[in-house]
Amino acid sequence: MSRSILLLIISLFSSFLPMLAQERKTRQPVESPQGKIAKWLDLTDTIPVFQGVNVTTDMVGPGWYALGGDFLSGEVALEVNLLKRFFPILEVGYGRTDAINEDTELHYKTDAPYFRLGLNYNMQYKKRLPGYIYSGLRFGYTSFKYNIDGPSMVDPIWGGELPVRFEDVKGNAFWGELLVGVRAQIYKNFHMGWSFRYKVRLNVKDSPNSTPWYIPGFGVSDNTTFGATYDLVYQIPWKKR
Amino acid sequence: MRKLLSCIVLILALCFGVSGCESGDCMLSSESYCSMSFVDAQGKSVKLLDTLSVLVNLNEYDTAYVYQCDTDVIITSAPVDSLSVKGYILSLLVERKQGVLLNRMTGANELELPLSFTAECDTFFFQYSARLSDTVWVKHQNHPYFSSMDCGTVMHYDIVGVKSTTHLIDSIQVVSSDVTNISKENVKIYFTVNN
Repeated sequence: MSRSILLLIISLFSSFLPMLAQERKTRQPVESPQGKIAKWLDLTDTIPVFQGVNVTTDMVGPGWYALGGDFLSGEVALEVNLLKRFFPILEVGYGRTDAINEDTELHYKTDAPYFRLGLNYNMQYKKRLPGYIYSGLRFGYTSFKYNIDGPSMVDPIWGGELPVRFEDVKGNAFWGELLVGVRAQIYKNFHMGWSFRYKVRLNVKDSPNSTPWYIPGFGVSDNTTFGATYDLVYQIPWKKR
Repeated sequence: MRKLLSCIVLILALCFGVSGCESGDCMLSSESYCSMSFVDAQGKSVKLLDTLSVLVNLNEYDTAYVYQCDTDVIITSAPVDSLSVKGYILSLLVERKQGVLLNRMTGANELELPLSFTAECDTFFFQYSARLSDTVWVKHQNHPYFSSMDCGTVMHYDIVGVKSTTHLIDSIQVVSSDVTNISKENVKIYFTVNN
């Protein structure tokens, strides 16, 4: 049933392709687009589309903070296993920092939830191994407030000084992530793995007085940054038909 | 498997390649200056033949000691007890300190002038010679700006108006109102050019 639904969605999505093919007016025998997509998706396989749901949590965020890092983040994710090949995933987390720079004596504080939506792709799906290498894509979003305070700014020419204190500055950020990772079965339904992530800032709301320095879920704000996760995965028991 | 590894290596190379173009370094300048260019009526760059000094009244104040006896007036920067003994009457004069931003520059065709962190209007005295000078007023809003934890804070400004006297200056115009630590032309000063 679920396989039929997936094929139906793919068929609807690709229904415009025959019109394009007709315009080319080629007389060569052409395989139908639905057939091509089905072939690419390897839907000739006999396994059910829905293969279960996994719950994952990242250990790098809390671990990094425990080792003395300035940033604390914790997240859980829910991923759906389709054909043991496609894993749509929703990651929900919470990031915070309360950092002071010793050189500039600036203090930055923020904490906020963040969300990521994306897909993992099992690059070894044909091998049917308990562990696999995967690549993935994420789109993340967070809306947050932050506080900044520090030493007053002293005017070196005209004289006088101005206090530096920005409170409850509103910001939001939208970013993308490319990732590669591995998963391995540890015991029955428990799996572990890691992922290495390349993050690209797509849009960040600045204020007239500041650019957010730390963005929950993204990290220190730069155009690009890297991240890593070490995942504990629990595969929710599911009765296979 | 080889194809898979190639794919991973390609993704990582792309990641590092792109990130290699990025820089988290601070800007070279942490100060914001109002950049002024000198032009003639046609908008062509001109060089001043006279020397140019720029003086300002700073936000700090100096106290002057004024001793007066009949029509005789003596002004000192420190109290002089002997004058009081002689019958001089002491009064205090508080005036803004004067600073020199530019001292007798020759061939100037542009300037970068610092704006005040706290005042909303700065006055610049352009002194071409002992007898010839202009006064330029720059009205601005001040925005202290946090750029990052490592780079600290920098002052940004928004110029809301400019005006000047018209001795050697013909007119003055705002080209770009935002003054940041990224240098760009903010104000054009049109000079009266004698053929």
